[in-house]
Amino acid sequence: MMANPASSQPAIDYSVHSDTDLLLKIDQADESALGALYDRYQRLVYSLAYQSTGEPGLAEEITQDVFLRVWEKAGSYRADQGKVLTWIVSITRNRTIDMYRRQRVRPENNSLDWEELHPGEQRDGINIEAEVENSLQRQRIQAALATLPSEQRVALSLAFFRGYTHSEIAASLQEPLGTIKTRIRAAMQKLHQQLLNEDGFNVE
Amino acid sequence: MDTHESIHELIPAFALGALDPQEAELFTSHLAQCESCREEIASYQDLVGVLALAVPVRSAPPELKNRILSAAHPAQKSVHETHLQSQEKSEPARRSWTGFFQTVMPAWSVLSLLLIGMLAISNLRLTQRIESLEQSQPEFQTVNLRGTSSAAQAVGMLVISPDGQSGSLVVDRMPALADNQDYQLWLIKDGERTSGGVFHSYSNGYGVLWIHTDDPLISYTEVGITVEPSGGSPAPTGDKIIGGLIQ
Repeated sequence: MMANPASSQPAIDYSVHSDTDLLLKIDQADESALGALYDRYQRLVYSLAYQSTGEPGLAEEITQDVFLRVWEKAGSYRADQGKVLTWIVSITRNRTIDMYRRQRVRPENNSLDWEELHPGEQRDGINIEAEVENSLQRQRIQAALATLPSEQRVALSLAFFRGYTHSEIAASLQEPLGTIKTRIRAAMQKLHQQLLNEDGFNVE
Repeated sequence: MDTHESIHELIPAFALGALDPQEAELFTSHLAQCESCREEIASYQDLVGVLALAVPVRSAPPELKNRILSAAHPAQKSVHETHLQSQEKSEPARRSWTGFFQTVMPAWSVLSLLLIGMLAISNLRLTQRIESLEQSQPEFQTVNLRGTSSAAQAVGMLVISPDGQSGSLVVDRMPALADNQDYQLWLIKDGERTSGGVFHSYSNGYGVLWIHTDDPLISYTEVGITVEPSGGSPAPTGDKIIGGLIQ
């Protein structure tokens, strides 16, 4: 599967490869490159799927779907249309939203926000190093989210985690459609303004 | 909602996937002609990606990686491996006959005519045996599928098991799908369309589907494939891109 022990070839250090290089290798059916990309993004994909569904089993299923999709579709990634992170998050959101449309997610299970789903619970398999490494960028994004008025944040959450459209959000919150459009636009513009810097959205 | 300024305001919601279908269509057609909107949309799409970094971090169970890697392995390889295996199997057979003629014939040249005669008789008997076996054994039925005008290059084949109950589908040169789309096979009988399964192709447009159906596959008269939202639809919503008639 991974490195072939019988091979005399030295093992390739995939950690030095960029995300785009890994996708090129995955497109050539390099399974080790898929393993390396998995190591890089599994926490992001699993965490987002878990936060959106509130169910570990569904989060695992989504994570598996996402990386098999990456395996099959690596050749369709276009660097000029966004970062690899953006592409992977988009596949994850699509798979999760699909679970909602097929009514496999119990909406009461998730808090529909970026906050801890079940505060105080013991999280299995948490990687402390990664937690520390990512905490600064997470704090910065959470700080930006915290500046949003709560009604904007609620509308944004319904779109981000459940894939609701303007009309679906308006129906769900029983608010006028125009109000929802304004809230979504204002929330996104404010986050864009706060988080975009000269390196793009490089928040590390 | 037709000035550039008002369409421009749809960018954040489009990046988030929050536009209703009619607005999304309007925006997509504008996007095709507006480079400044395309640049800004990429920036907002990156923002949506970054927002995912703010969720509390959890790690997937350690065994999930191996599960994914072992599922990824056969997905693209099975067809090529089968093809190679069949080549490997036929090679030694061909070599043994060649070797036979090269070594035996010169040494027994006097008997060569006799030997050829015996081989011819043996060959005739073998051919007769194969023909009688073929007549007594049921065969797979195949149905060629042709691309419609919206995907003229697409080709495919439906293979139906000898008992007519089940089958598999193989397609090639299929049009590319968006990330949130799948192909769906429809089995048609008396004007009614039943889903035969949802699948997607690999990056080269090649795809396979093992067909699941309650009724025998042979009981349907026609098949068609449409592009549907991920996970499939209860009834076809997209145009037919490839199809064929079951005899």
